[in-house]
Amino acid sequence: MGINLSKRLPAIAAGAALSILAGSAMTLAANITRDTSRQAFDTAISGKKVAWVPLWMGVLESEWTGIMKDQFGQYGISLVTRDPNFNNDAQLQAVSQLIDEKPDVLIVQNNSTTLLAKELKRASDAGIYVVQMNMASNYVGDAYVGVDYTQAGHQVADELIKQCGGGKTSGEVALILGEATAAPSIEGLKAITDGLKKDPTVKIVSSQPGDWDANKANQIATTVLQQYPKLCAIHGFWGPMAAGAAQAVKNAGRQGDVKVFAISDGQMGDCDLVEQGLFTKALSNRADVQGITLVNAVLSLLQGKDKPGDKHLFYFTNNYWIESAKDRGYCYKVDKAK
Amino acid sequence: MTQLQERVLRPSLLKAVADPILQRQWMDTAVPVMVLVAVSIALAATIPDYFGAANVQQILRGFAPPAFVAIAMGWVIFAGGIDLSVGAVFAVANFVALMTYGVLALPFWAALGIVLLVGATIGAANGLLIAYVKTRPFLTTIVMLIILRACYEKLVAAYTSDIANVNMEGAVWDALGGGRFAGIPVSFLCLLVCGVLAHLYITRCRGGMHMMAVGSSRKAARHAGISVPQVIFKAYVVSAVLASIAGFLYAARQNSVGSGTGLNWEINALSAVVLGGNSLAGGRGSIARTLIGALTIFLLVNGLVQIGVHGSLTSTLVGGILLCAVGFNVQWVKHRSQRARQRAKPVADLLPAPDAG
Repeated sequence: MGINLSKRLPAIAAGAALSILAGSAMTLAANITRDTSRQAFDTAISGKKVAWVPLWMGVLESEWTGIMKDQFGQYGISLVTRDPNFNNDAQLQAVSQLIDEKPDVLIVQNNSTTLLAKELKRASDAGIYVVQMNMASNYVGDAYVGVDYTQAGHQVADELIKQCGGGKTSGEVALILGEATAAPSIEGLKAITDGLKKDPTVKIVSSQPGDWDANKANQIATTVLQQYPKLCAIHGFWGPMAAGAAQAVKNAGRQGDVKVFAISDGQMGDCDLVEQGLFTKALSNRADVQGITLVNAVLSLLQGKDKPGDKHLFYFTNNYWIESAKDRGYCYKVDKAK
Repeated sequence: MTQLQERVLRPSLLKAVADPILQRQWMDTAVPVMVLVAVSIALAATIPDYFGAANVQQILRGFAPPAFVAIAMGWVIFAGGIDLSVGAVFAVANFVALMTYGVLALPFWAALGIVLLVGATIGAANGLLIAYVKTRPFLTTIVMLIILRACYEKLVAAYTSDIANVNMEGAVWDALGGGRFAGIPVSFLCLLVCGVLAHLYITRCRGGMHMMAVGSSRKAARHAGISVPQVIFKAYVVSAVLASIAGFLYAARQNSVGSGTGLNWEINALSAVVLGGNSLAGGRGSIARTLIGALTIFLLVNGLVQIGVHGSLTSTLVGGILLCAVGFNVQWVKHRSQRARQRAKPVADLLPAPDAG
């Protein structure tokens, strides 16, 4: 018995220790009530300041901004916005000045992977959480919210193969990128190029930056349609820009003959273009969902114990193909009240 | 005093008081300074801590590149020309700086040398055509703008991923882009040094005086024995070199190329020259006034963005203010020349009538 006891002693001791730990954990859990946790939430977020610098205040950015205003307003978080109107210098200055104002969170939409990199690092060093919205920088911040352009690129490549591959058409496709130095252009182009390797009959004959501008996309598409009379498809990296290319296809009298694809933020105009047959398909990443995701990412950072720069979280949003009127749910209505 | 008398006398009283002040030479500088002060007061009143130390540093850091481009534009305007390619030269210089220093990893000074050489070559092309082939400056430089812009876009498209993925670092490079000396951004110190040198050249050196003389009257300058083509050629070379310095500073600050880089900068530079009260006809103006004009525009754009004004409204407001400034400038010059003629009249009357025979 004595031998048995001495053999069992370590196990008993371990069991006792575990019971004490479990007991104290239960005591702790008992101390955390819904009231106290709610108080902790309020303390963590109330009075916090979020600064937001988009590329400009277009339809997409206004959607995100409206959701943030609405949600943050309810929690007592103040939102400061700066509209650089597609001016890189103004955006850099705005970000630099905002960092000196020491907000708790800085959200940026990068039109270039390099432009804000140094300043974002400075923000992180100054104790500001950095969130990047839909367009990433070379500096990896605390959170990225938005499209996984690698996934989206592969989805587009699969669709291009489906429509133009297998030798049934010329296999010629043209890509109209956004701003050449923006992450969606760089990552998207790489993913589409990789994805198209599955079918060597599909080849990219033109890949030019349209700078998010419908007029420029229209000019590029007009030229490409003349250069490649057997062109199978044009893919634009953003709906409102690709609308210019779709118009060029229509003007050339080749609607239906040349397929037009676009990555869309889900603006209602893109759904309209699909229904009108100007877009063959659009891949919506739903800005309304992205807006909510952005708010949640900010709330998570403010409630967490991590210091700025400690973690690099990703909140990828899903993409949905819009093919017909039945997919209208993937487009969002602009709420004028926001 | 009757109402009629009041109406008649009041304007003449105003004229009697205002005219002697308006005729002063220093009024040329006082008016742009007053505009700058008015803009500054408005911003200081609207934005809390706008002129706090941290914000002033940011303003000065961002100001150097557009200020250099404004001086580049002013330089050829002083010589009686115009250079609409300054924005495109700036963009090309920015690209060459990033390629040489970042992608090709050349030493800092080699990269700077190449950038300045590229700028000087473009300026020489402009200068040769305008000074020696006698092409029109407006058309020549606008064609140069189109050519350079097209080259820039092709190059950016070809080397985007190289530039986007390179990590540019280095002691001098970082100091130029974001460093400070005695609390003042290094890029602004560069601007100060170059600005003072340019001012001394224009006001104290023979070459600068020749340039202003050519801008004032080519005919008179030629009669005075000045080699007009040589002066014009040099002015375009210096202008392009100044624009390429701006491109280099911009590259060190931003480490990025974009489709909008340098786009419409020639318009802002031209506006800065006008807003500074310099004569678009040439021969009259100063570096300081050009910088005052450039700073006014820079603060306006910067301030409106910071207030949170919608971007498109910012462009419209700046455009409207510039339009007023240009209108005022024209009226101002017209008024001065009218008064000058009136003052000169009695002297002219004293001269003997031209001999008919």
